[in-house]
Amino acid sequence: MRPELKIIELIEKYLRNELEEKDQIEFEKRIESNPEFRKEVELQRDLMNGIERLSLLKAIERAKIKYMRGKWLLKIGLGIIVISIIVVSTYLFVDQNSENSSGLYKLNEVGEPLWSDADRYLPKQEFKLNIESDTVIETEGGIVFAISKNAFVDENGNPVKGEVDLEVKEALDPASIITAGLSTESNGKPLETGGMFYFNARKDGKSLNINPQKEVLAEIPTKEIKSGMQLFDGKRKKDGGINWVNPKPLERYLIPVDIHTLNFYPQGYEDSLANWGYNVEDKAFKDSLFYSFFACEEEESTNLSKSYSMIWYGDRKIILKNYDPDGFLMSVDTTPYKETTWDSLWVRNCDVVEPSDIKAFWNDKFQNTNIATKEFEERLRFIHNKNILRLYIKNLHLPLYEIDSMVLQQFPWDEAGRFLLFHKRKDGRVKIKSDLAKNLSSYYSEKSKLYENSVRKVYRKFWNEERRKDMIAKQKQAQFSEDEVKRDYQNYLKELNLNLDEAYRQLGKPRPRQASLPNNRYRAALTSTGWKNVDRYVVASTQNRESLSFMDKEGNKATIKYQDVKVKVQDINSFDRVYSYVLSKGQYSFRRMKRNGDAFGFKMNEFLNYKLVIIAYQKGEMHFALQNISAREINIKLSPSNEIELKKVLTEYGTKQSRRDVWKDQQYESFKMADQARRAKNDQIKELRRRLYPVIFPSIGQAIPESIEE
Amino acid sequence: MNDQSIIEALRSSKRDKALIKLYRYYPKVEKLILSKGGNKQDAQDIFQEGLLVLCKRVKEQDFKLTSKAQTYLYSICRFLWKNELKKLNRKPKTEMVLELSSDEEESLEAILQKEEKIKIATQILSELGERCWRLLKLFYYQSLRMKEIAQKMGFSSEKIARNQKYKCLERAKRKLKEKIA
Repeated sequence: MRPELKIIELIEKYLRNELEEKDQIEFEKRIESNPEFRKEVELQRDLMNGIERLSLLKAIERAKIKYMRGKWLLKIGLGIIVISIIVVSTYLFVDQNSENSSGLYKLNEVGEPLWSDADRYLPKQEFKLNIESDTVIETEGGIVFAISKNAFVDENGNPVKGEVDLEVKEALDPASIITAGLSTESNGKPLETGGMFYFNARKDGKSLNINPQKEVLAEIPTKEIKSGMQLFDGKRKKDGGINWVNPKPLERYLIPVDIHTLNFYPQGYEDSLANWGYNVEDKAFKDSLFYSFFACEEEESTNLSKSYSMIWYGDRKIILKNYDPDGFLMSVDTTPYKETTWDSLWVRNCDVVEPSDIKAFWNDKFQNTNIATKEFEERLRFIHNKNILRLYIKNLHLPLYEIDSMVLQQFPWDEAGRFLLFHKRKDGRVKIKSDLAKNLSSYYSEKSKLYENSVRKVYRKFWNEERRKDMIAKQKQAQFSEDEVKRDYQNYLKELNLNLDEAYRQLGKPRPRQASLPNNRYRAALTSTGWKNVDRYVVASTQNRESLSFMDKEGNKATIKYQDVKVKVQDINSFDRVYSYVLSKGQYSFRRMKRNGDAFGFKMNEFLNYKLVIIAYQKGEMHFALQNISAREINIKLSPSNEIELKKVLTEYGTKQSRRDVWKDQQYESFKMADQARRAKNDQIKELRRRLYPVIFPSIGQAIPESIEE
Repeated sequence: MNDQSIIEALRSSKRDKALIKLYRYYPKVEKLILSKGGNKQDAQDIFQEGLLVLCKRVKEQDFKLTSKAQTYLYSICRFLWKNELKKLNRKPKTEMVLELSSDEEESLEAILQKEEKIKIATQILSELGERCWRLLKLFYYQSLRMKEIAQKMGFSSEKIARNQKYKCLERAKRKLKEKIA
């Protein structure tokens, strides 16, 4: 444990009265003498008390939620409910506009000159509202009406504009129900009432209809929660009473839409892709990328003893934990990926909603269920916990608002406020048979597991394969470098041999047969002084490819000439890559010319006959040229060719060894290009995944990075 | 639930149930606050704090319920609101008579001061990650043993859980220091 943590442990023991007397006295002395330390203790005490306070506040908040729910919902008794809503009028009479002496209009909402006792005795509450915006009104009795804009239409079905008069009458408690002469009878059978109200909208005295595309929501206050509530329409009887008819459930049924038109991606996923220049119209791309992410994985590794556990953390890292037989952590090894976060080490991330979970329900099987609704889409944006998601999937037969309340109870601090708002909206359900709901739930569990595993498998397989390819590329590169060094050295030896022969021939002396050539080392640096014979000069000349003019004591001369050759390729920049080789009979193998800007340069030995071979690639197509080196500056035009032609031409020139080597060199170059492209692509993938990770897993992404230590 | 059993429940793990019962008295308190110059938000805040103070008070050794639980809660809320008005330098429109004994007032005052002091710490804790919060709550509030916590939260060993708990505390402490400084 780090020393900082040790101190926290010690302070905790003190605050919890767990120190032995001796230690406690010492501790208190320390507090006395060290103000810094005293501050630490104070902070920790505040936190400890804060934990209790926050826990209590959360418990109180939960109680409040339950209490509020009771206030807003109605519930069954044996009989039922009541509430009457009414509106509408289609028939209009000429004299409708005039009010009679009792404050009543001549015609009621359905255009009949019929009023009940309740209409007469209940006080009228009037509201004026501008119907061109959304309005919420609360009556004296506490009924809340939420009226969306343009909620009313005239007799021709055209939305009305401007100001609208709203009248409300309410009888919510038994006393006012009785004094208003209201009965709670539905076709002669008694009803239990939760309250009754009358609601009508008029424009210039004429009754209006509710726009079928809009809605007027009414929330009726109640002290008890009862479910199964229904809404009755009141029909006035000739005797002044009201008959309650046409019961409708209060819950709002949901309208399913095509599940493929909904957006179940995490918030910001498509925006991020679009910002980074990806084509977000391409659904297949979006899906395959999205579904390839995963956050949770923990598995025992088979190679290691049982006391190891291996945690994969999404894309980012692998952690090996080593435990001793008592279960104590001995060591933690992490992969080289340094960006691991401290939280991620111990959060197993198996509680977050995985893309595989989404995949398991974002398909045709779940058409015409709660899932295929705008209402669920809205909720999903706030569901980051797998267990919350499961509640919605496992309870397809329940209305959404009931599941919202389960969420509130079981996960009180996961976005509780949000789900309370959802809950209050009383979003209902899409009707579904219960056995179908069960089947779908088990379909979901099965598929999400399956997808999750296969995503990991594919991911693992892909990167394993890529790692294998990286290895191969490394091996090939090592082999290539080795070959290159070998080849250069062999070329050098051959050329040195030739130069020495020539030098001695020019001096008119037999070449001594002593072993002046090093055989067992490549590129030996022959810089030791002391040799005063021609060998040393020839060696230096060959090594540096510089001309040599040598005169011995007798006045004999020997010259070796190196000459600069410059090769220019026409339109060199239109090629993706250009290679220039020189081949020679006297040489062991080819040499590659160095490119310098737009030209290739080489120092030519006058004793050798060189052939120039240029190979270039333009958009994958091979171009080729071959010619003798005669002038000091050569201009070359390439012509299209292919591998077979190249092979044929090479067979005619140069040595067998050099032909083979040029071929091999070309093969390796091609491989290198392909491998570079592969690696660049992988880097791109890694980068994209790194950037998307916090978008797809916002609840993990917010983790504060800290170093790993135990 | 009668008064005494509500008080008992507040001291035990049945606290949540008791709190729901007590919430029934909210409308009365709201009416009080509204009549004394507050709005609905004030009423909710005061009621919440009132419940919290009640939870704390019933745990103290010298606590004895002398009136109905409802009346006592109501008195606490009235006391809190008076305090609040004092703080805001506002006077209630009508004089508020307190029915609490001066000893009782002192006890509440002490609790209030304590709570005031840890408000920032509470804020810091509420911003802590879900998992840290759960770990700390299980240990300090629900008084579970480290072993149970490790099991519940899926730590591979008790030692790791303990270690993480200290790290969570460390983090909260650091943030608290920053906030105060």
